[in-house]
Amino acid sequence: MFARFASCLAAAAVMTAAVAACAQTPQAPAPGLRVQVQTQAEWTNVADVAARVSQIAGLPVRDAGASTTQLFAMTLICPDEATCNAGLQRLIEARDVFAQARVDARRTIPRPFSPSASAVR
Amino acid sequence: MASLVLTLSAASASAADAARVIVKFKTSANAQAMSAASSTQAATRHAQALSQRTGLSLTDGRVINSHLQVVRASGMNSAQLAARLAKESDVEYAVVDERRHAAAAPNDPLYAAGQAATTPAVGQWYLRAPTSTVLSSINAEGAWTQTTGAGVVVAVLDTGVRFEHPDLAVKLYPGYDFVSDSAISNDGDARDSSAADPGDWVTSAEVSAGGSFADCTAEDSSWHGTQTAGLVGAAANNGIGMAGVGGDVMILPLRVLGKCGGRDSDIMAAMLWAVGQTVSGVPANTHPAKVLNLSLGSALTSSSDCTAYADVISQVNAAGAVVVVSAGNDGLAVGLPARCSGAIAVAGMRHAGTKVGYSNLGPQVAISAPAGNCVVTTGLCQYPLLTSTNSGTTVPASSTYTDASNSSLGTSFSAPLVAGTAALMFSAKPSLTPAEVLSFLKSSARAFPSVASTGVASCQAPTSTAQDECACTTTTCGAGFLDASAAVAAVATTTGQVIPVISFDTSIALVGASFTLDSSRSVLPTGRSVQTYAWSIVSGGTYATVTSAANAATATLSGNAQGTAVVRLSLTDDLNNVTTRDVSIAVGGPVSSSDGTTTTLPRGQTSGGGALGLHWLLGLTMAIVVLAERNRRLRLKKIRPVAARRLPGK
Repeated sequence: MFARFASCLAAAAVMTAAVAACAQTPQAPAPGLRVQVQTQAEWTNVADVAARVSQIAGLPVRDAGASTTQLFAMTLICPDEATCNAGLQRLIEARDVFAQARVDARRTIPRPFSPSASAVR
Repeated sequence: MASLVLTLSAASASAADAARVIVKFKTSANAQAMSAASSTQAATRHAQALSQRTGLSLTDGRVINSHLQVVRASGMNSAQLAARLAKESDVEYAVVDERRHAAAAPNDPLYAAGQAATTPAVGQWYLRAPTSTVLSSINAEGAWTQTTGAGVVVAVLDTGVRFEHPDLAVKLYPGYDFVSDSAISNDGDARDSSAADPGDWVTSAEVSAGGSFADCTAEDSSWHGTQTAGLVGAAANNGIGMAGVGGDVMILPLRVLGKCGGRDSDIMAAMLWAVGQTVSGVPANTHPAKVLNLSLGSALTSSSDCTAYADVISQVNAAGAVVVVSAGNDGLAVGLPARCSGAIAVAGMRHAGTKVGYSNLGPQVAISAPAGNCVVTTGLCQYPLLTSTNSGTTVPASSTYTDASNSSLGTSFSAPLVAGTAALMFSAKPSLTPAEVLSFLKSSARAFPSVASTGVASCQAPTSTAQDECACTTTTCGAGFLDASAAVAAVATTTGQVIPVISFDTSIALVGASFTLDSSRSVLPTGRSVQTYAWSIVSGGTYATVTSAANAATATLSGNAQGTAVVRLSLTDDLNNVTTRDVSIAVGGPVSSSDGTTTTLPRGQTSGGGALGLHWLLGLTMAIVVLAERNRRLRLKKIRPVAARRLPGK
């Protein structure tokens, strides 16, 4: 009886682990370049900014968000690095609309050091 | 001539004597007296003559030696008496005999003895006064005699925090989660109101899959925000765990980093929100911060551009707040955003006062502070920065602390020491400007040791080659070693007025119970003293009553009913200036010192109680699984070499 219960429990655990593993499998990312733009004027509607960015970059955009009424971030949807960079360049050159356009760079925890590295002495 | 009141012993002096100074008599004048009498008699006789000549009503105090004696007077304050006596020809100097307090070592057990007994560093060595062998410790203990940071909010922009950590639970405002990319956020959504850290582990499968984690490293959860928050403001004198630099500051946790970091756009949004600016889609911040700590960044590259960060930092500064940023851990030039204009960049020091090998350096560094160093590359780390953390390798498990075998190492941990000190400075003088904070931090910094005394080469301007341990200069490691005590003292002397500070002897105010409010850590500028204390209930008198004598440094408060009462302390100094501070007391719930508000644990972030919901059960299940795994690992560790047991510091 106990062995049977234990088997069921083990099976359940395996299934739970499998489900968890599936849930953690990364989705294939959509190609693109995350950019940040600072507009010359204040914009209250993020969708309007996204449309303007898309028009100027010549690329579709997704995941637009606002930090302030002049600072926005979104992802340019582009198939390769060259196309992405060209789109960003067009945004940078549109100085009448955008005071700044740049890659929305990733910052991280300053890389930790292993205590076994000589640099920690 | 005024009557003279001279006595032979300090003990018989009248309690009404208000002024008290230490007088040093000139040697030549004293020598004559010395030849005729014992040193004690000589000093007393000389003071008597001084009294007769000046016409002041003086009382002899204790004789310190043949040249030094305490002198008292009534009808004036100490500063006035010192100034008057200093003009006398036979007086070398006269200074106020100020009251000093015992070094404010907190009762938190890990403060005194938190490291393994076999390492030279014991407890929170980095917060104590420096010694001949530990040059870089910041002397927070000295600062605590003046202020513990009450009334100041520090925003910690990081991975979020574990709200249930016992050293942080009553120190945290709810904050906000600014991570807008749900893949990075790891909490199932984009921005949300919970700044709780769900873990930031990255699996090798995620790295292999590319996408958001293509350039990342597979690693366990760091609990980085819990660690930095602990250094800034872990509850002090609560008999639990560790002490933060600002034991009475409040922390505003802002989650901007998730799995493998976070985006500039989210970090900048959080910076602006931290100081009360409006951010689209985010509720207003009701607890604006005076200090922002950013233990994050990236290495300098050819495309690095400070334009946006400098603009955002200038807006933060314009709101009256400072931005403290870690310099980075590459041994190279200071990265972003630490190098951007307006940031207070912090480099990392070894215990012995040289730049720790991994710390970045360069002219952008404002000041240096301990970052943790191990001395050895095998065995227990000897000078790690003990702080709060969590034991989970992926999802959260148990609240715990880092130590010599699970070490916190990096400039990530230098910056919070500066941020906490800045909070103490704001507490001492709330009207400080960001420029003044930077100026006082630099001017009060202790000088680096000479290159010759360190035995290592001088630090050089950064190049593309990493610099290991080196002897700091002011162009590579900032103005010097952070000195929290000197920084607060420098600020306090400029205020010219007493600043009330209220601390509590309990974290919970309960109905039917009494507890003590203590103002003995109020900030006293040089020459000032408190003449009267007045405690009163401003509002909510139904809920609490002051039951002790009115004119005392401490007051007893009794909880009458569940609700919030506002208690006011009014201090009158020796120049009859009156300053006040209000504090809200939530009877029946957690109590905290803050900017006039009371914090209760955010809903859903309490450490226990309530119904057993699905999330709670899931959490319990996960905790059991994680603990089982942890025990398994511990069993494995026992048969591994010591060097392999240490986890990398985060």
